[in-house]
Amino acid sequence: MLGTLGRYFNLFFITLFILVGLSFVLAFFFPGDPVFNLTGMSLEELPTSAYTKALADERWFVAFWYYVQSLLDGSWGISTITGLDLFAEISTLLPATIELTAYATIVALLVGIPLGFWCGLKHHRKTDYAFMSISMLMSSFPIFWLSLLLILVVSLQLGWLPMSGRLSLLYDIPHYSGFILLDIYVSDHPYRQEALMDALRHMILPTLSVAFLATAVFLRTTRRAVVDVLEQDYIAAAQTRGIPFWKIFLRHIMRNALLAVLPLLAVQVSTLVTNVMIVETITEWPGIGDWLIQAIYERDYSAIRIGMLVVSTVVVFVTLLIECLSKLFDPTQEQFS
Amino acid sequence: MANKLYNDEQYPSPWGATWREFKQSHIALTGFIILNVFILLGILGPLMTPYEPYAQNFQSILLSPSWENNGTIAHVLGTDAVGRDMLSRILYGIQVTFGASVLLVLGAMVIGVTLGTLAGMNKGVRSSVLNHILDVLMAIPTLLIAIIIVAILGVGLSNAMLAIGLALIPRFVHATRDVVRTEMNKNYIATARLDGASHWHIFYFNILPNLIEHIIVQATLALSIAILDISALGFLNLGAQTLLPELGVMVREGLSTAYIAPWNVLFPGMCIFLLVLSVNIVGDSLRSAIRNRLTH
Amino acid sequence: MILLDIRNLTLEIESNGVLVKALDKVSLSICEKEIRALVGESGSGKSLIVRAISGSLPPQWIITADRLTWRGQNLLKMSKSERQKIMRRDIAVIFQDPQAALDPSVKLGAQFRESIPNEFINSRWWWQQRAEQNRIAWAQLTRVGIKDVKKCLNSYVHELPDDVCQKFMIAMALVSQPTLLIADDPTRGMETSTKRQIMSLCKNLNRHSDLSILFVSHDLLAISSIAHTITVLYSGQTVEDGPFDSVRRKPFHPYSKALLDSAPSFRPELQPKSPLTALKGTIPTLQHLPIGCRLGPRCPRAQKECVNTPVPRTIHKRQYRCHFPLHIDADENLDGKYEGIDV
Repeated sequence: MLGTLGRYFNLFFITLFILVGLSFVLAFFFPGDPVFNLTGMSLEELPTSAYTKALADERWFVAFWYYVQSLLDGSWGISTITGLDLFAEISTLLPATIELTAYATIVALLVGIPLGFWCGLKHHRKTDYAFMSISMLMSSFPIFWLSLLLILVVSLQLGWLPMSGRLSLLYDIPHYSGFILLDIYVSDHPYRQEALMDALRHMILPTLSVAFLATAVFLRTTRRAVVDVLEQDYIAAAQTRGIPFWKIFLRHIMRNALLAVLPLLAVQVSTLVTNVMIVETITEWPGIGDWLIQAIYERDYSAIRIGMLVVSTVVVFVTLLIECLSKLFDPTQEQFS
Repeated sequence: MANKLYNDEQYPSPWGATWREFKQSHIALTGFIILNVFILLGILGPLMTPYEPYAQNFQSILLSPSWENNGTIAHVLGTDAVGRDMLSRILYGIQVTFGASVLLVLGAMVIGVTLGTLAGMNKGVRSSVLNHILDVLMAIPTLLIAIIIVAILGVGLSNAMLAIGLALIPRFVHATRDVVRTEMNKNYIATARLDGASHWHIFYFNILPNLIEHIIVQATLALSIAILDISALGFLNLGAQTLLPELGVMVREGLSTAYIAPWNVLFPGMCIFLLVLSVNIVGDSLRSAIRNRLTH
Repeated sequence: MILLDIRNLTLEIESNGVLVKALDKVSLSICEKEIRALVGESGSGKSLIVRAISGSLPPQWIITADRLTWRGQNLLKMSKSERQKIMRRDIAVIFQDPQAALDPSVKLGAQFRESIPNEFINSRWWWQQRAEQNRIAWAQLTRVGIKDVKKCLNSYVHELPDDVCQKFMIAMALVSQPTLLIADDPTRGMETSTKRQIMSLCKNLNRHSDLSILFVSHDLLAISSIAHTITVLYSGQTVEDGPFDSVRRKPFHPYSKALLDSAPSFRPELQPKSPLTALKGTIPTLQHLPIGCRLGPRCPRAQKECVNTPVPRTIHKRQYRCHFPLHIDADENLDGKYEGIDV
């Protein structure tokens, strides 16, 4: 078990190192001055330090060393367009993205996995076919179109929910953790209850758009896993031992099916994040996806460099975490390590 | 003679058997027909369009589809904000979006299968390094890769294709590698090797026939992802540019007039949806057909 | 007393839109303290019979029988929970591939505890119950001859060798103190020494605990050491049934003879290097079942009449289904005068 943990730690740090290296190298590939791309400032504007000196002398390997140091320090440079500190920017943006992703994932898991179990147990019956067809339809929606349709119908046509943003401008909630629900909860705003409701109303559309697609995928994955487990000999063997079906379901089917689903969820993380980023731009959710796409429109290379590093680090971390967990939970996987 | 007693039934080839399972399902056949219609439209569409996709006509701006009260039969699906015919643009759009997706999937497939075969047939450090780098690449979201490519090379359909192709390669490598690995461990490969077969020979005569089915299934999956991503990048203004009638671009352009002319958003999006749906149905049915063939 | 009685069990499976009889009027019965061997080639439907008895067939398969009773109770008519209770207490099944028949993600100890009937546990608190369950597990596992019991209980299936898994399966099957053990080819693919251990374990259980066993196998040599009676199955039809020694000496059905002839150790008169006899052709696939006696097209004694399914005929505790049996003059048999056979 410690071995598995160690291996994944290793893998994560090697990957992180590759990503940091990539972000450094990208500054040379992006148009314009590499120093400008790395720090957001020209050489003259930079405060004198060993890092500046290495950059000025074009001793790039030394500069890379200082670059890693500066990343660890939290001095990530400034945006070339707005001149804002990137570390501060991202620490407000990233929680918003994580928040949206988390809610969408939770909704999708809560709906998709139980439905998947149900369809798997009823496989090759009418309900199963119905749900399979529906999920096939659901998973074929282009995310941006779906999100637009929802906005057009629910916000514009029916006027039920706000169209964009995260919170109405009426409420001024101080930044605390970056997670809006938590921030509202800990703030001492006089209209806290109303603010909370408003935040929730803003959240529904983007969450549903992302969860819509993810639910379909989770449902199909789970259903397949359940059907596969049901065909195994040990289920028939447990039945011949006269164990009631609900016990077999709880102890054997559920466990093995979930173990099979878990590693497949890891593959979904990157798709999920792409979808979240697209939905952010459409609903103007103030997350890192919206910000990155604005940055590319404005050719803010310093921001793209750090945004790419942060998003890919988070995604790789989550992916590896899920893989590591599935390795730890699944006793049969150890033999292949 | 006696040995032929029960075996006189013609055993179909693997492909024949798969096709026989495939056509059992009406949904699969419907999806297959729709996909073929899309392929035909993609090839022949430009010959059938009533108007040039770029032809602006300021006499007929934002016309409704023909079944609405103020629509005309001259523009079956209506017109957009500069009077371009929706139907013509969609027919061209199918060619651009679908064609670009097919091309990039083919490219990613060739590279991915080559790399995957190398990773699967080799052992040791070389393949393990390759695998780890690929795993990392696979975890990075497509949109992020596209943003980086666009930042380096600028916007454009070909750059978008490059970005999505890069993101799809690891899938093919993974799939190929897993199949090659399992096949390499089987005894018939050892037999071939004992007969003195070269690596190339083993790949071409023993592994490829077993591989090809998995690759096709993977390609259908990749195709649906490619269509979604190409149009998403077009929509985000990171892919095909305004002039090109790409379906995602058309959705974005329709956005400015979405409130008064929702069909400008509706039809291109619907077209992407149907395209992806037919690819998904064919891919999914193919997978279950292969599974049924193997279990029966 | 007859424990399990099966009369004309027919199982129909839909294959490409046509109903096919995978089992055609199979009859079988097991008495108390009897070891019955069920013999047939792979594909003859042995495992289907086991699954029909244990009730783990897919619901879309159609199962009909004149009789399928356990101690006189109709298994087909009873409710699900009653049937589960019989499976839990009276009948136990062990499978041919122990690795696949045990859950790979649950420790063997937990799987064992699960199959101990609740009635055996008298303690009140869960920790006491747990201790009691562990005591039972220890006793059972030691009884079947597992040496490192602690390791076995704390392992997952893939960590143990095949024979330990099979012994574990047997121990798990026996924990509910069943009257009948159905062993579905438990020695398939095992080494000779392990095979012998499993066989002698079965034999001892039968002798000392009065356990009835339905031993399903195609390994005649292994069966010959333990079986009292034998049922021969060909392509979903029972062809012959009777005391093992008698069948072995004088098989009535051409298929039984072919089957026995295929095992050289049963033929002391066989000269070294002489060719082994075998029936031509292979067992028919489900899609191409012949009408009448299913052995018909391959049978050396087949005649025109064989397109009609032969009815089972009985003499001296032996039953066969053949129009032209070996070792019997058909006319005499019909007259009921035949007594020349030594049973």
